[in-house]
Amino acid sequence: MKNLVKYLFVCIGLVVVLTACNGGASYKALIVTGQNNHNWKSSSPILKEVLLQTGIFTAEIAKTPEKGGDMNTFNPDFSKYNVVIIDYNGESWSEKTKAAFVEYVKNGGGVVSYHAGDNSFPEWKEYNEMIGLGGWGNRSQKDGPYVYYKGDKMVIDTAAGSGGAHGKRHEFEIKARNVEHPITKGLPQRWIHGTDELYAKLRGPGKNMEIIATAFSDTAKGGTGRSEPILMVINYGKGRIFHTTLGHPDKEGGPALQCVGFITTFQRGAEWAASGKVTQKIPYDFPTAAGSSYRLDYKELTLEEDLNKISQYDITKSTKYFTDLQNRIRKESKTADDYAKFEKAMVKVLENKGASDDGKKLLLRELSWMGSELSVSAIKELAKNPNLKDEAEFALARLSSSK
Amino acid sequence: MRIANEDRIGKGAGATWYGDKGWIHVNRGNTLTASDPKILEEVIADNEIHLYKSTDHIGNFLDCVKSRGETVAPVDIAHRSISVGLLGEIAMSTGQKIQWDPVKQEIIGNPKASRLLTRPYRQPWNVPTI
Repeated sequence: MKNLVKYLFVCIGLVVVLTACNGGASYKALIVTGQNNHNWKSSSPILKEVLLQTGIFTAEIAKTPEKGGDMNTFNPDFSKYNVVIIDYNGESWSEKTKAAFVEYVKNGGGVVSYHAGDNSFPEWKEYNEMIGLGGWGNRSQKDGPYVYYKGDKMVIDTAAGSGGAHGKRHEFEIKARNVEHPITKGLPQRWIHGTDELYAKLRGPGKNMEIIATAFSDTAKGGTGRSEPILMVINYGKGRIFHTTLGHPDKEGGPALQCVGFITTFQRGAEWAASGKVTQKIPYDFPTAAGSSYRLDYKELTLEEDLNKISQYDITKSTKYFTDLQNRIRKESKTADDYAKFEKAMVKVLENKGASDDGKKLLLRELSWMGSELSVSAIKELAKNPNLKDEAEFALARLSSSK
Repeated sequence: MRIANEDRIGKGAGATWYGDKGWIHVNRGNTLTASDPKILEEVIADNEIHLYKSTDHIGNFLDCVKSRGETVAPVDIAHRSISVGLLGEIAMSTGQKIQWDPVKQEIIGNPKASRLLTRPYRQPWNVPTI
């Protein structure tokens, strides 16, 4: 009997380990790129990395031939994937590949149209029905109405005119129009998006489409003076399409892709397109209506990675990593144990001889209010360092002011 | 009461009083605006409430030094006004909702947040208790 119990425990243990190893990567994503008026060579690897970070995707990149190449050679087996990401704005695919793509979506395949994905294929009727709205590529009234928001009302505007425009790149506020959609559920109603192009004057069939977020396109920035669609969801056959106009890539990627608002909505939109639901948590560093939030490394750092960056801080550098630490502490600390977890990790940096004094100063300031006796001996040690004496004594005095 | 920064309120920085029929707004430049400009032309009768009148902030202070009277912006009001802003900052810095006991002037049940109410002073400096 005892042996049987032992055996059962081993089995349960194995199941737990196997599940953990699998990492829950249950969806397959294909990023289609290879031609774009944008820097697809920088954006596609970032999109791949961002999908992998969720732990629920595997991701591959499929490249079309370069412009003028033989498009017949581009025929990926879409049916192998749960979601296809369109980071493409170039020549038409072969009729066979287009038909396979339509078949894939009709049968329930997911699609994410990313940034200039909605510039693509102006002449391909089914594709335009999938993305709902598009811009540029000689789009005009023949392709469908302009769709935008005026106050709380969606406007379908059949006026004549070209489709697609954007003003100067800037930070702008995004407003969720449906906070109950799986993609936006739990996000703030409004948040500041990182420096990006604000797409405007999009027009198209707009069938089976819901605009889940808009942004006001300010005429002062060369915009339209209307609230323009930014995030959309569309149903096509059994397939789901998530359309994000965000994420303009520079040569090195840049702020639009570093924006946590872009990253999070892209990850959530991809999961929704793949499965119809969203299981990801809202990250601690999601932007708010008060300000934007960037991940300089395109990923959410672990606490350890963040503290490593802080230990290399000097006053000529950005305090971004320290701000991240502060946000983490604010959002993830409810109990004394939560604070202690952060405190222990911070004390390790204080004790690290290789860590910079400037980094230690930042940590001393934070520990002065959220610390406990756990950090006192490390701080006393730093008080012997003439460079850190003032900050260390300040922290000790504040820590003893209220126990 | 609602605290908002300049970008969030159309009227800009200042103070706005809302009544049942409209509002009056004043900013630091002594510019008065109202929901209806007629409100600003109304004459306050002798038997109505008249507030402390001062035409010059610094002059008023100097006058009060001489007269030992109370200034138009007395220290108690200043203290209570800035308390609201500082407590807001403590709530942001700690990420917590804080409760303030205005009589004891203490944050209730939150020793960590309480540490942010003052700064330790380098000796021999200190805040004297009066």
